[in-house]
Formats: sequence, structure tokens, C-alpha cells
Amino acid sequence: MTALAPPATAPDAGRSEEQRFLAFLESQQRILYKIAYIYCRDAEERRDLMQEMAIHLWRAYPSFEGRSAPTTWTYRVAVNVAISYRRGQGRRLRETLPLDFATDVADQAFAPPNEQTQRLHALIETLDEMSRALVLLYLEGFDHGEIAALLGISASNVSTRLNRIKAKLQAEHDLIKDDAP
Amino acid sequence: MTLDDIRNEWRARDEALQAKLAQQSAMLRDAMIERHLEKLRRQGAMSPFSMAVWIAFMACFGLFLAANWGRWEFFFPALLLQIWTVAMGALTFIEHERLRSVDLSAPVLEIQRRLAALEAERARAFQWAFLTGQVLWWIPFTIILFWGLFGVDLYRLSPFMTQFIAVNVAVGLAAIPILLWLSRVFGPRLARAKRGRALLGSVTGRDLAQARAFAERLAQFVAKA
Repeated sequence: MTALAPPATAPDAGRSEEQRFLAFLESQQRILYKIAYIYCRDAEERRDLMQEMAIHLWRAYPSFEGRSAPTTWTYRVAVNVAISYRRGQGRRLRETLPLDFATDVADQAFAPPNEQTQRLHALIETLDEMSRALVLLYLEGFDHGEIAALLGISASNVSTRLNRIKAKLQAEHDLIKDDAP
Repeated sequence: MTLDDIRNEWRARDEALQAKLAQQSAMLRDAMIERHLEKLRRQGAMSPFSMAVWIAFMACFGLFLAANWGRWEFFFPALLLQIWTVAMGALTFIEHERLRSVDLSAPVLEIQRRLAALEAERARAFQWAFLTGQVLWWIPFTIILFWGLFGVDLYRLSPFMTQFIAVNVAVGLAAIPILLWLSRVFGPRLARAKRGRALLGSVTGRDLAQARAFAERLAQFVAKA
């Protein structure tokens, strides 16, 4: 995973905090899209969730001190927003940010390439919110330790949960086989 | 299909997504550039009014020259004014073409550097236009205006007038090196001040100001992409 420079760097000198955040948000939109993709089947819902995530990132931005990589921070905030969104917790925020993201283009480019993948996504949709987060972060290439840090659970908990998810998916569909030791 | 296979497939889809979004961004950039170029093409080097005034002055000077061949005391000032007028108009067209020829598909920093160079060139051109114009458009212009419109020969109006003409032309010519020295000393400070920048924008032309604003928008767009 490549880390980007922290939000406030020398080239940002002279720009307002809002401008810096919007530039940062532009670089993170692909991540927000993939998170929304895992949590929402409907394109309109994905756009709503992306807005929610963007607003929460904006609100949390002043307190981001660069202790973690910017992408890691984005995942941490955005995945928690997505979990709450699916659980229906918290009120929907009415503010909007200028998210200049072509979700229709992204939907086309990111569409499942075959029926097997489509079935897999249908199965992922049957998982609870935390399990979806685990699957997403695993697919994004994070190791168990990183996933644990992002979700605030232990690494052994991550391993256990991922094994359970694999077993569940295996039981429900022949798609997933045991990983080689 | 193992979980790793699924992860690899996810990564491939992500790469396809990234490529598609980059392509989209490139298309948007091209569309932005095309819109700006279209605007520049429609604008033209001079407004219709400016063009009409320029042509009118050239025509008037031309007629005056034709009518005053042999009367060198009137012919030469008019000739200088005609040369100045033609040169200023030609310079306007050349500057506009140079702006249009800036390669907007080049890296943004290169575009901004090129526009800054054009701005400096236009500022220098304006400086020389002003320095020479302040000599030509005072006494020489007044002489041919009075002769051309009223038939009054200012050279022979009175002995004082002859001295007045000579002193004013001399002062105008002497002012050139002084003003050049002042601009070298105070110019950089003025260029950094807000009012100085506003003045620079007004003398270097609206089309260049628009081009610089466009380059700034393009820089922001590219930074986001």
C-alpha cells in the first residue's frame, strides 16, 4: 500500500484548509468508492454513502495529525462510517461536499468480470457489517495486523473472523477453497 | 478459486478502475483546453471598436502623408506617428498569436512558465510603447492635428512656439532613460504589490489574464487527478 504525503505539506502553502482537504479528498475517492461498493448494491446508495464518508472525513480532518498514513486514516474513518450507515445508526448528515467522482464510470470499470465474482459479491452482501469490513480490507491487501489496528480489534480476532467468513462462504458456495498452508 | 485469487482479481479490477478514471480525467482536461481555445479564438486580437479606431488612425495618417509630401516639417512627424500606429497594431496581433500558440497540452508548470514569459514580454512592449508614445503623441501629434484640421502652422505661430516645441520634444526624449532607470529600480517592488499586479494585468491584456486564470484552474485540476 503506498502512503501519500500528509495533508499539510510545503506545496500546500498558501491554500486554505478547505482547499487542502478537497485536494486530499480527490485523491481518496477511489478508496471511498470501493468501500461504498462493498456496502451498497445500489448506485444511488453508494453515492450517498460516499457523501457521508466525505463529510465525516472533513469533520475529522482538523484532528488528523499525521501519526498514520493518510490512506490508513481514510480507511479507519470511512469504514466506521460505512458500518454505522448500514446499521442505520446516527442521523444522516445534510451537508454535502463537492465530490467530483464519476460513479457511473467507476461502476462500469469495476463491474464483476464474471458470474462467479457476481455470486461472491451476492454472498458478501449477506455478511454483517463488521465481516464486510474484514473482507474489504483483506481484498485491499492489508495483513491481519493492519486490519486489527484499523478496526480496533485484536489480530487473533481478525484471523478467527476471517476463517469463519471463509467457512461460511465455503458452506454456502463452492467458490472458495482452502488456502494452501 | 482461493481467497488469494479473489484478492488478485479485486486488485486487477482496481487497476482497471484507476486506468478508467485517469482516462476520464484526461478527457476532461482535453475538454477544458478545447473550451478555453475556443474562447480565445472567438475573442480575436482586437475588439471591433479597437480595430475600427486603429484603421481610422492609419487611414487619417496616410491621407495626411499623401497631402503633405514635400512639407517635411509635417510629413516626418506624421510618418513617425504612422509607423508607431502600424507597429502597435501589428504587435497586438503578434502577441495574440503567441498566446494562442502556447501548447496547452504541455505540463502545467511549462504552461505557466510560458505565460509568465509572455506577460513579461507584453509588459516590456507596453513600456516601450509608452516611452515612445509620450514623445510622439504630445508635440508631433498636436502639430499635425492643428495643421490637418485647422490649417494652423504651429511652427510659425510665434517664436515662443518654436522654442516650446523644441523643449518639449527634448524633455520627452530625455525622459526615456530616466523612466527606464526608475522602472529598473522600482519595477520589481511594484510588481510584487497588489496594486502593481492589478496594473500589470490591465496593461498586459485581458486575454493573457484569462489564460493565466485558466492555467491556474488546470493546475488545480491536474493536482486533483
